[in-house]
Amino acid sequence: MSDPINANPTVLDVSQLPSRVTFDKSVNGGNVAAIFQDDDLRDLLSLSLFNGNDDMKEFRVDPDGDVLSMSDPEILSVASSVDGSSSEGENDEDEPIDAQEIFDLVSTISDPEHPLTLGQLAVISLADIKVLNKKAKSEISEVIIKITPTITHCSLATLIGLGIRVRLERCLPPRFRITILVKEGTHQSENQVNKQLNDKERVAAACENEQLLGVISQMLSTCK
Amino acid sequence: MGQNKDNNIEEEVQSLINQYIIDINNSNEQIIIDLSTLIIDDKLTLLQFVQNIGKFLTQDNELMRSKSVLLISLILDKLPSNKLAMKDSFFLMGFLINRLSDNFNEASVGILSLILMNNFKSTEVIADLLSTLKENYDSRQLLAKQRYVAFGILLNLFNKFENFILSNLNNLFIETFIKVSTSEKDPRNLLISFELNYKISTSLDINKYSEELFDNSFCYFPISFKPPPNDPYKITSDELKSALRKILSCNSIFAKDSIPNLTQKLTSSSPLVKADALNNLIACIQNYNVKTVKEYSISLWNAIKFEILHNELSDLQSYEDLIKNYENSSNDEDKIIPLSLKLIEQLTVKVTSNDDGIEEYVTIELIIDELIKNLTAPDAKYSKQSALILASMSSTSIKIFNLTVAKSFPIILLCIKEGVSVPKQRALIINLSFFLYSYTKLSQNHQFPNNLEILKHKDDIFMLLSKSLMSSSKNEVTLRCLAISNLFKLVKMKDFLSYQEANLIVQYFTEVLIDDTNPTTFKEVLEKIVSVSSIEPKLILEITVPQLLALLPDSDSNEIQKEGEISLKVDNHSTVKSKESLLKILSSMVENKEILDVLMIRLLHKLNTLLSNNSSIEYIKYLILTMIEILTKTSKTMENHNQQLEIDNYLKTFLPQFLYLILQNDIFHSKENYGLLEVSSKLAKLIVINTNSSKHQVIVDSLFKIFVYGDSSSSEILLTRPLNYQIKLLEQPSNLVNLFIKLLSAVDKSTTKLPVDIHEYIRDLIKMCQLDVIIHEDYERLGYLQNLCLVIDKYLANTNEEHEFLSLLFNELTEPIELNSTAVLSNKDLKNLEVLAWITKALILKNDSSSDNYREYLIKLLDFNRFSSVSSKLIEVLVSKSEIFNAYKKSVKNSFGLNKKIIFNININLLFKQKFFNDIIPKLIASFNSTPSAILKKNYVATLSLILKYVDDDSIILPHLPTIFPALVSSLYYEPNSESDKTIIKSSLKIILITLKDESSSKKLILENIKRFVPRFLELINSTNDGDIKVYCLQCLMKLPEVVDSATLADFKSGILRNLIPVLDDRKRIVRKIASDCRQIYYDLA
Repeated sequence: MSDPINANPTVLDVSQLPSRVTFDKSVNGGNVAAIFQDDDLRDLLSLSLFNGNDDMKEFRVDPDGDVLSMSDPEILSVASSVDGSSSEGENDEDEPIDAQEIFDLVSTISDPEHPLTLGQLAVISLADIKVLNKKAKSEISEVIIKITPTITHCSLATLIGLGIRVRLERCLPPRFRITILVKEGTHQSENQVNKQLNDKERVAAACENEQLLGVISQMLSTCK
Repeated sequence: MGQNKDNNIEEEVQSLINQYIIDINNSNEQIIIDLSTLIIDDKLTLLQFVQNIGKFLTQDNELMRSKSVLLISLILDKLPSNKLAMKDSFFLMGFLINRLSDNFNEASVGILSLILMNNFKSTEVIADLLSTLKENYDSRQLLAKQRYVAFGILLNLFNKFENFILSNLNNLFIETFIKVSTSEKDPRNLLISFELNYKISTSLDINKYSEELFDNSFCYFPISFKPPPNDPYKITSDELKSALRKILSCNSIFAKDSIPNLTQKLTSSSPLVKADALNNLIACIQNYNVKTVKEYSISLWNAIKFEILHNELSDLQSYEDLIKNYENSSNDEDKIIPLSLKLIEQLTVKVTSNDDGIEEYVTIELIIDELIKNLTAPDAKYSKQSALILASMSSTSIKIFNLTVAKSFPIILLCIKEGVSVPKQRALIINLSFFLYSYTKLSQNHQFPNNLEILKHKDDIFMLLSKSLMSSSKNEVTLRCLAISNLFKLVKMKDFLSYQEANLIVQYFTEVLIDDTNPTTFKEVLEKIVSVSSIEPKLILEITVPQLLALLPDSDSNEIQKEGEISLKVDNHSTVKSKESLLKILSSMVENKEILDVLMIRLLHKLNTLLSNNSSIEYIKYLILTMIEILTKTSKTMENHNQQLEIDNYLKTFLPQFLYLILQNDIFHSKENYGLLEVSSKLAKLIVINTNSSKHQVIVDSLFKIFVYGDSSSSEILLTRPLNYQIKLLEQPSNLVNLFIKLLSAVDKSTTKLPVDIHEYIRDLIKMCQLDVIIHEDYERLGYLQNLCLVIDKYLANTNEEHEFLSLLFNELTEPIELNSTAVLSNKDLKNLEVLAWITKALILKNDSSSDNYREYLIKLLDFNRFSSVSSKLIEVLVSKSEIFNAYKKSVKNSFGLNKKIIFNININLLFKQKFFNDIIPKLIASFNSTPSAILKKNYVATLSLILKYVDDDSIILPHLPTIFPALVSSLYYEPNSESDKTIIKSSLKIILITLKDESSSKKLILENIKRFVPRFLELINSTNDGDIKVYCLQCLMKLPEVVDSATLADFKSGILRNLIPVLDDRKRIVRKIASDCRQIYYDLA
């Protein structure tokens, strides 16, 4: 049997991928113990009768910089355990959809050929994602993603593109127009692939094919 | 009379026999039982019986004849084995043998029963039996069951008369067996056939028949038997395989047939057949005599070598990993490699054995010479494979190890001198590492002689590895990791390195640890250093620890001011680890008490330095947390080895210095830094916990002296020097009460007593808790409240006298509180309630019988609107966690002299929460359902959710779920407008989330309510602007498919998918993220 054509692509380590939360979770992220300690203390202090009422709700600032909230700490910790930056209510800024968020959505899709993600194979890179986010939600916003197939004659480029499209259509609000392109000069039949990927009719037809949808589900099953 | 009776029996027998013969269905089991009972009861002799049946035996009718023989056989089968006399059995045997030619099936059953009789000892008929059997056996005419009888006859004959057969009937028996066993196909019969063949081949003289016996078994190879479903005999393919293997390998005489045939099977394309053939060959090599194996050794080697040489080996880098990977592989193909290696190992052992009086290594040297040709270039085609085989051979004996190393190492190491590329270097190290495995394996059960060949190459190996680690670029991660893991192997190898060499390796490791930034290399080297510290702690203590500590900055106060200076430093040291990571590394290295002791003292010095250099609170806190971590870790590790950490000497060398630092430095007890005081107190507590309780009374006395009476002059056990100020906890409220209670909670409750009057002390504490000055100093006030709780729990006896004292207190505290008033609660009321709750907590904790009125009072408060703002919080106090109530165990000898672990520091009934919940939850539900007041309803749900926060074990609430659940779902329908309504919805959602985790018990509840809560989730998600509620709802939706089957969810699927579209555009990223995850789950729903 001959080797698969692209048996050895360059693989990036997961830790090398761009991510929003910048702290290193290994040895350098050693603040866990410190945070834990303060949690204990905060639980204890929440037992005080003199600060616990809703109308007396106040935030005490620990000199360590941690906010000792008198609201139910459990709720805080649940919310903050999902995201590093806790949604404590007072940082009320809007967080618009940006390129990193799109990257997080699609980089964990598995490659149909390798047991690796598109991010690891550098099919998707943060620099190739453009988001034009209109302020008014009634206007059409746009996401443009350029994918880099691992080899120029990659026959699965269309499948990968379709997977990305399905993922984004499921995860983005409908006001976004999604455009998926093959990065210039990375594929032999660039124009054909681009045309196929952004043709509404053909995408819709593909999504009605049970078998194809099965493969895409498989690809999306690793999404985090 | 006797004659008459006999006649009756005679008649009865006659009629039974007649009935049996005439009955055409052959199904009259009862007749056989009746007849055999007569014989067993001695009412009928066997002779009489045969006489009675006689006339049928001579009938012309063939059917009658065969039925009569069958009857005799069946009767014999029913008789107990001691029934027949020797004479009878001899006579019957003769008779049945005669019938074999006519009625083979019927007679053979009887013959088998006869052989099993105790008194059948007539060897003279055996020859006759065997030859008749041989003549009349025709496997094509017989059913499997009938052939089974024939095998049974042979097997039992052999078991019973082995010696007789050996000396008299050797050939006849073998010939009969061959006749019977040829072309057998039934698995049950085959198992016996194999057993017999094995017995024959090991016990009888088979020179003449070896080929036939071999063919008779080998014709079944390879066995591809799959047991049919509902097979009554439960015979497995493995049973058959191993039975066959036993035959093939049992006698060296088979070698001339087995080895060529089996090696030929190695060419099979099926990996299963290959593996089977290999297993057979291994068994043959193990069992055949040395001479035979030597004879075939070269042809075996030639047959097997390509199985490994021509295989692409996996990338794994050590012998153990490689073999483990292949053995656990699900691919049958992969199992060939470890089997082939095992075969070569066995072959090596056998060929070099001197069991036949000749010790020679010609064959082995031949093999080695053949293989080392491949080793000249480490990355050549067969290089890794050859090294693997050589290492495998070397692991069998020191002699071969020496031989192999002497021949191959000069060639392997030759390329170092020429200088090699990185890929070659990697391949070279991997090849070498295989031999390190051989060394390790041999060292487990051998004492090495001084002239070990590999020691001559030690310097080269050492050079190669250390050069690969220290002189290659940091980007060569694989090479460096490989070098690290192999250098560690050298350290681990028994008697290999000198102490100085090991020292050097640890030195290298430490440099890499400090310098390298690549996470993979770093992880590898840290892991190995941690391993070294458990083998040879001295090395780590001498080299790594001091270097790391030296890097730990003495202060971080100037980091910000003098940034330029720092960046200069960074250049010098290329990559300076942060102080946090240095501390983390240090703590991961603590593997035993030796390292702990050194590190604790060093860190204490560091603390002192930090304090005098005005370092930041974070840094100090992190340092103390590190000490807590290493202390806890060591104590746990020792516990796992059934030891107890004893650090009594810390009472001299550590605690007094540490406490003096805390008490004398303002930074610890200023009002703002209680996080720091808290961790420091915890460390002090941990030290006392791990000391012998004989010292504890002294500690308690000193504690009171220092903290209550303000006398620090002569308390050496806690302080190195007197303080320059006075602490009087009962006069002047102070944060230090928190340090005091941590230490007080650590001492042994059974060997200590308070140096003060307990009633007076309790009253003083209550007074302190209620002081107006600390009403907004939560940390201080809670410290006093905990102190109160601790003293009652630990030192107040469970006696009537004390109960009276408690009811007195109860009355004093509750009297001023008016339950039915509508006035807002005064501070005084709140203070009383708070004290009450903490006293109750102490009583509940130790399950004190006087806790009832306290507890009831607090529960009752839930029913009053006036207390709705605090009542749930008061209940929460009862079950809340607190550092001082962490239970620590020590082992004591019980009355039987056995070690038993008991909690020594506090009085705690481990089931107190369960008891309390079982008590309160039904009340809460009942009140919830009966009250019309919305405020109170909320109060009940809020209490419930607060309590559930402290449930460590969901099983406490699960029994109550059926009652709670509907209430919870109803409460979801509150509109999330006010803060308190939001709280209540959140609480309900939280409980529902818990429910969704457990599958079996809550499934029914969920199914019943699903139509009510799923639409509400979707409404809430789209109507509220509260992020937490959205997140909880989404999490509930995500959990749902784990509990509910997809058929039920199909009704909701499209609704959920559609209604989640708006949240995909939520303003909060976290909400969007969970929403898209949730949608993904529902899209994937089948």
